[in-house]
Amino acid sequence: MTFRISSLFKTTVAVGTLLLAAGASAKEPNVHTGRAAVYKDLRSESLEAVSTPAEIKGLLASNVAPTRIWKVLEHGEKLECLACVPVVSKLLYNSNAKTREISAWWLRRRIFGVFGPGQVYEQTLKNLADGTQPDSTRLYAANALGEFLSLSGVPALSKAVISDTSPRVRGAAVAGLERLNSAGQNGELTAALGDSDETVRLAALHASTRINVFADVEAVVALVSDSSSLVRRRAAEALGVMKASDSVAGLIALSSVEQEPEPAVRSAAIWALGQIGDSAASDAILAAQSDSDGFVRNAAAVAGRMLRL
Amino acid sequence: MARSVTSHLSLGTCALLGALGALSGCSGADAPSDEGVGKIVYAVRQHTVIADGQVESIDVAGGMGQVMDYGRYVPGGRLELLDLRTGKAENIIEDQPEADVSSVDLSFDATKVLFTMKKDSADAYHVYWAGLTRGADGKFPITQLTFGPHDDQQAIWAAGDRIVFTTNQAYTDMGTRADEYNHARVVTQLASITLTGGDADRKLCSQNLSHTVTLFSMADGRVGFSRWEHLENVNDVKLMAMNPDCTQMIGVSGQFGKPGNSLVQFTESSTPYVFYGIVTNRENTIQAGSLVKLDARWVKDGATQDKLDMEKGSEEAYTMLTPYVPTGEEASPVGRYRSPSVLPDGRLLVTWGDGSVNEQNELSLTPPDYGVYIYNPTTRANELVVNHAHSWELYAKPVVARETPQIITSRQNVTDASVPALFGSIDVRQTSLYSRHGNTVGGAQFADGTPLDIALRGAVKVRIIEGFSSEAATGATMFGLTMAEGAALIGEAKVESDGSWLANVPPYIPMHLQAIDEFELTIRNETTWIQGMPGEDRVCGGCHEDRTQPSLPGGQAITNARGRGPEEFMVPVLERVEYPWAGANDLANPNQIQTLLTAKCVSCHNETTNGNGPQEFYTVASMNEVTGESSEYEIPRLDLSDRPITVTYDRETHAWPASYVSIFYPAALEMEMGMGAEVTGTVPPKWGVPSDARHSVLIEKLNITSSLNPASYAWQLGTPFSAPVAGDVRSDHAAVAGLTREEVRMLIRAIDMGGQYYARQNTGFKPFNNDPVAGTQY
Repeated sequence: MTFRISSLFKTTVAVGTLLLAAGASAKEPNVHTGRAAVYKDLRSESLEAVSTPAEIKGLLASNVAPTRIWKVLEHGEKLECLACVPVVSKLLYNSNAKTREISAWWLRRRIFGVFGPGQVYEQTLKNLADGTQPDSTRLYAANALGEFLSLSGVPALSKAVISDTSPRVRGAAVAGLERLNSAGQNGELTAALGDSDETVRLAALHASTRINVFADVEAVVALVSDSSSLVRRRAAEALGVMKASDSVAGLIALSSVEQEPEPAVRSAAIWALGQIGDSAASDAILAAQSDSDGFVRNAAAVAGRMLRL
Repeated sequence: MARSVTSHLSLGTCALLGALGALSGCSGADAPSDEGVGKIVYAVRQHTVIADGQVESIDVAGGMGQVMDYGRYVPGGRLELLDLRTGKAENIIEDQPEADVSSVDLSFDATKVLFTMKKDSADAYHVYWAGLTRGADGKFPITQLTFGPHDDQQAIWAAGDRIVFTTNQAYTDMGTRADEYNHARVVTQLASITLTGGDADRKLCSQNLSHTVTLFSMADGRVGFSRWEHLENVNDVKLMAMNPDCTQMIGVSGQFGKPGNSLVQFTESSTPYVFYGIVTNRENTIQAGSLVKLDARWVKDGATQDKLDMEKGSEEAYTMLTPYVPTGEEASPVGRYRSPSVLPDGRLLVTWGDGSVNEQNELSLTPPDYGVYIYNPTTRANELVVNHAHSWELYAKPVVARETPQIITSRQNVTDASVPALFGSIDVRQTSLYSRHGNTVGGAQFADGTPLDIALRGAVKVRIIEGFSSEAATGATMFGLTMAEGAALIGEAKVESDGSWLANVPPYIPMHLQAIDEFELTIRNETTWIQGMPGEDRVCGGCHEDRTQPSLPGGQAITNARGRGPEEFMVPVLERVEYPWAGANDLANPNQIQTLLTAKCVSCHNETTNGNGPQEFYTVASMNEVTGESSEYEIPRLDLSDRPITVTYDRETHAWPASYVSIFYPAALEMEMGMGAEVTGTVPPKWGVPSDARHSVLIEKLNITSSLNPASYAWQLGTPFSAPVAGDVRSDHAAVAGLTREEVRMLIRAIDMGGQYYARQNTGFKPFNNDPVAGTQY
């Protein structure tokens, strides 16, 4: 039902049109309208301009640079444009990671058109759960669910962490949980730390120091003896961030050239020992100050100072 | 094939070097003159990876879409030391073939180079230093100073062998916090180490909500930097400075006008407070822009002083050195510049790339060809120094000694987040915002155009607001119909009769201040984040006082606030006052807005009734051009219930309560947020303007009495409303509706703090398990 347009509305529309015309120019947007009075004291170049629906709807054209997409969407933060939603939804599956990320960011800020039944969010959940979809589609769906920042995505991501057949997708699901600041519906992050695939374990280690409530330090400690040197390195770094005192023995082992051939791993272990600050590591740190690798010696020098050796 | 310096010569080495003039002292002698520059050092960053003679990849703007972006990594970078006499370039990091270098700085004695490097794809960026002379083993001695699973970048030397840099290491109760507008990229904060201690002396500075980039040392001993300022509607990059111990973070320039959105990559000249840098658009220029000179010195009675004046406007302070280079994002007809450094003779060593240097480079998959040049501000000519093919030459520094800045003794050595920072003012009424910038206030008791210094005489409190980004509203997709960040009320400090106020506040976190009048309304909303270290004294002169003048207490030795001691606002994060609109985790949360509205307002303002008449609606409709389907939603004029707004679109309903949408949508529409939609019906007045309760018609309608005089109202009774509102003239509608003064204050605060729907207290926020600053262990 359409109401009779009042004079007030006509005035509003007229003003809006003028504003739209002004705002359509990237150089001279009217950035003061509708904002708190204090912003009138600031110059336009300091204030956020608002993208137009036409700019957003044009983002699927073939001659749009990624940086243009990012700019238009960022400046379209508060633009309620239902017709733009299908356009931006397609960008969730763009090959450029930042394009996917900012598209999900824009979509999650919509009041209408995204989170209703059958809409973008639900479609994304379905894509992740649909094993017949290509790996890349499921992976991108996991990325998007993380960036949507809605906890509704935790169950789907948790399930994907455990059961998706693709390690890339499982890793993306872990990253999605990290973005949601969730260790999983039933602590799936711990399971990911023991995944058979190195990339998933690495994703889980990255998440372990960035999810506020993660506390399963033992699962991280177990990885200091991982078969992958990169996993051992990341585990050592995570234990240093966590200042996990129970990991000192394992880190001492990692710090010696006899037990750890990779200098980057030894360096990470020594740094972690310095962070933890347990005097039991003193001998190991002093020994590392004679390591054959210069950067290991540098780490040992720093750790030695931290333990006041 | 790499182009070398010599390949550009048509007249031989010395001719090129002759173009460098006094730089090399090349006059046939072997050694440079004492005042000459014999060498430069710079980073080589790859953009095109070639394998087996084939182009494997080209990265044009990856990791450089915005001026504050970091994390770009393409293997094959170098740190080159170029001898200008011989043309020979040596790679200091020759043993790191997969490395990338993201910043370069030279020690004051010109014997060491400081740089940040990522050794390979599995590494993170960390701080290193290297000697400029090969050791006995024939290699440049390199020492790594920082370690760990985070990126440390933008390192510079500060006096006393301190090193200051940016890091995305996460700390404090908030844990990992990404920038709201750079999304998953964790915000870069400032940190420092020492040359001898490295990470053992690592110190983390207070946090801002958005990135800090491109640091520079200042002659007065402070560290200058560019900081992305994102506070509600503000979105730009300004210049700031702080002491090397992380205290006294303060603005340097850009708050009161600048020639473009972003000021980045600045460096101080040999004249204190005269700087050179880049002004550009925040995005789409591949971190390049127009060269600018900033003279931030105070001018008193026509005479230039040796003092910083942070309030100089664009025309007063800035001189465009490359006027044909756009300061926006449009294609440049003459290329764009990056990272200037000052040569002893006053010319600038710059990076310059010809061509558009914007998204057109992306579209054509042709990276700008950044090379090192000398820019002569007098002739406006670029003189080539070095430009390799398939790579960018950046962050060039002349290897020449410079004066060591003053050493500012560290006065802040505590890292205990339970030790408060001290915030306050000597006299909140002292301000330069009117006298220098013409800022005025209007609305409620203030006639339009009331000078701010007059209005501030009415300040009775200062509201201290913490800001936080989406990670703190766990599970919320956004904060609501507002551009404001998350907000929590730290406290409202009393302003004493002499204008002073004082409060102990949580350290490390970003906050902003609002001067409050007797009607609980904001007189002035600070549009910059401020923060303090544990134990730091951040007492200002006034409410943005003129910092070229002393700030004196009114006729006594100490202020009244200092005499009575600071108010205590050290509240744990989960206990801070927030105003969740609805859905509070604690059902008994007394600050939930919807609870108040349901109790006091809904009986008259609901789906069917609005005051004395039927509810009215306006409709926002939109056509999906792809499917041909139209969708529309009805928004009530003023329905204060928690009824979900119904959207007609494939049976969709949405959980947003009518109250929130009713109140804030009119302002959102006016801000062009409803562009492209067809609006039919009468759009109501702006019931709620985020961060501006004074101009929010809902508050005007309710009205509020003075805390000093219960007979006095913010809006004089019987006078016309500022917008078409039922009743035509102002009244005490709060009393009619049964709202207490405190309840009206609740609504005022909710609006003044940003009009958010979500906070921490109606989402899944849990504090970070570990505190890497204080060293709490699992």
